[in-house]
Amino acid sequence: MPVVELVRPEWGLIVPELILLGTIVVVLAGDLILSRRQHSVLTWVALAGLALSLLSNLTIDWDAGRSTFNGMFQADYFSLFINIVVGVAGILSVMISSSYVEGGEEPEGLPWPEYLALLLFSILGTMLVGAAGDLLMIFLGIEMGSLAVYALTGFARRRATSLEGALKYFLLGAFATAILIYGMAWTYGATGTTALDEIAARLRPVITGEGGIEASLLLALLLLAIGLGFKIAAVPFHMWTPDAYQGAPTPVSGYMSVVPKVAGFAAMARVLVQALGPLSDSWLTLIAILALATMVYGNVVAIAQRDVKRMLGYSSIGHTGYILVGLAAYSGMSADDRSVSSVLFYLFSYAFMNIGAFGVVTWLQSRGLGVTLDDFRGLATRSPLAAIAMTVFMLSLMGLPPLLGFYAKYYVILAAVQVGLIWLAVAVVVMSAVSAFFYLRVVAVMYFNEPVGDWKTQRTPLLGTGLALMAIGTLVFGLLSSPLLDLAQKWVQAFGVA
Amino acid sequence: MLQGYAVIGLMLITAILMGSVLLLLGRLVRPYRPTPTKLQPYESGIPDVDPPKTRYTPRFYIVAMLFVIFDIEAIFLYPWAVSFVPLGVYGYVTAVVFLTILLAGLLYEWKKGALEWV
Repeated sequence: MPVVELVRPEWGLIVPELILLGTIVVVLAGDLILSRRQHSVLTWVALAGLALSLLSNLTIDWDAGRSTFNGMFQADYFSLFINIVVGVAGILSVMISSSYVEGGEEPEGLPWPEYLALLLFSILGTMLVGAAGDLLMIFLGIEMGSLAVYALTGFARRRATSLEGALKYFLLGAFATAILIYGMAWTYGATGTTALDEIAARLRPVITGEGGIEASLLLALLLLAIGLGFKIAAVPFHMWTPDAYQGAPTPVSGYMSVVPKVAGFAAMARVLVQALGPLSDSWLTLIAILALATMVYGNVVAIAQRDVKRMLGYSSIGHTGYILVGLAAYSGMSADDRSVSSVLFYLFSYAFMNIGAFGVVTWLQSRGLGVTLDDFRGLATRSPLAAIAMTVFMLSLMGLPPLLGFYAKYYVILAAVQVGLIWLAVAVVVMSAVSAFFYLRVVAVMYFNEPVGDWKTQRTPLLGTGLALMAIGTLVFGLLSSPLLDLAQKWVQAFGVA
Repeated sequence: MLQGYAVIGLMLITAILMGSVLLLLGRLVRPYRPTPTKLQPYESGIPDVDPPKTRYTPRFYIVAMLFVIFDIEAIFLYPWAVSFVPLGVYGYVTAVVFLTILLAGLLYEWKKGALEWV
């Protein structure tokens, strides 16, 4: 009988993920044991689990950049940053969700424990994408994240728009996944491996050799870029976005504008930079064109929207474009290459301002108002604090200094200028000016119009706290951005570049 | 830089041309004399009872899910059983953990009413 060599995984490296998994199990068990009225206890379980998972990042030695499970799982600075972004976004999403889901804003109500479990599963999947060291792990993580979000989009199953959005999201998402895995198959066919570092190592001699790059590699690259482009909603793969954002329960829209996007960008960075980095000449132009198309389309179409959720959906397409600019500024792995770090920092800031904006919409909905621009009329007289929070988020999304959104855009532009992509940097500035129109319109409506519609007084302490935290975060983290950026800059070390 | 993509474009164009030309050629050449029997989905099979678009209960999906779970369980347990001795205590503990997770899942579904068929 042959001797079996057992590879003992280093469990210590996946502690944040394990804690989150434990939380999910507790939430699911709580669903069975607790009665419907006791379900709100699970809010605190989820928040505590997410906070613990965030804190447990401190127990890992990230400097070592070790990998486990035969290189499937990498615990490096890139995955640390993704863990932080996703953990923070998760906490904020739970805070804005609880009153909406439990308060019965949707017909026949929504089951809170299942909502929480799906949310946490999606977060776990995104963390796995961030730490993936292999194409298959990326696939698994993305699917784990997206399947949960498809279900969340259609969670208000008695409302037709919710189902419509979910179905469109699911069909296009499944299609994108097929394209993605096809690209992975071509990559495997061309290089003979699915491990990211190994792919890069085998590609390096190919590009320096004579005869150029084989078409099969380019096909793989194209398919991967298209598949991931769907996940981040880049134009022309954005068609599902507005309907899904409009149809989903509002807190879910906020959540899915951030965390699945983080998963998509993490996968893009892992695949394009870490694995296909040697082919960067072939994908940089592609990404730059995608970035331009995405930001122009998103921002221009957002102007015509009167439904605030839909407007934020198009604006999120625009922001995808800005983030792609950061990726397009990749210049081949040097210590001062700011491409991936600007992407990471942008994702961090986006979590605060966009979940915040959707949080204010949720806040209005729990007070009996709708989601159109008219429902924002005169918010400043009804609730000055909510109006201030919304103003902060809108100005930050627009990119006004000294708010967080300004710094995010600033670093992206800086990265682009550094590699000589002046035209793209100019496009970001011009499009920010265009976006000022529809962001400022919300602010103007809140302050300069008379209130309409019925207002019912409602207490939503957790949602209020969440909004306050996000508004403060938007104000403060911009000024404290340099330590965060230093942390993000360590991606160079994470991706194993000399 | 980008001219490498021309090959892929060429391949796509070839595929589209091949497909459409062959379909068109078939349409031009073949005779077309339909009879009711010929138009049935299965020419020599049992006639349809229902249109294929009838709605059926989602409980089938839940049963299918349960089936998949236990299918995977069986697939994982066979290789473990084959190499039970060399894997030793570590393998045993791992398998027990795996079974416990499955059992918890089954209990969850049971409590949620997945096994009640009405």
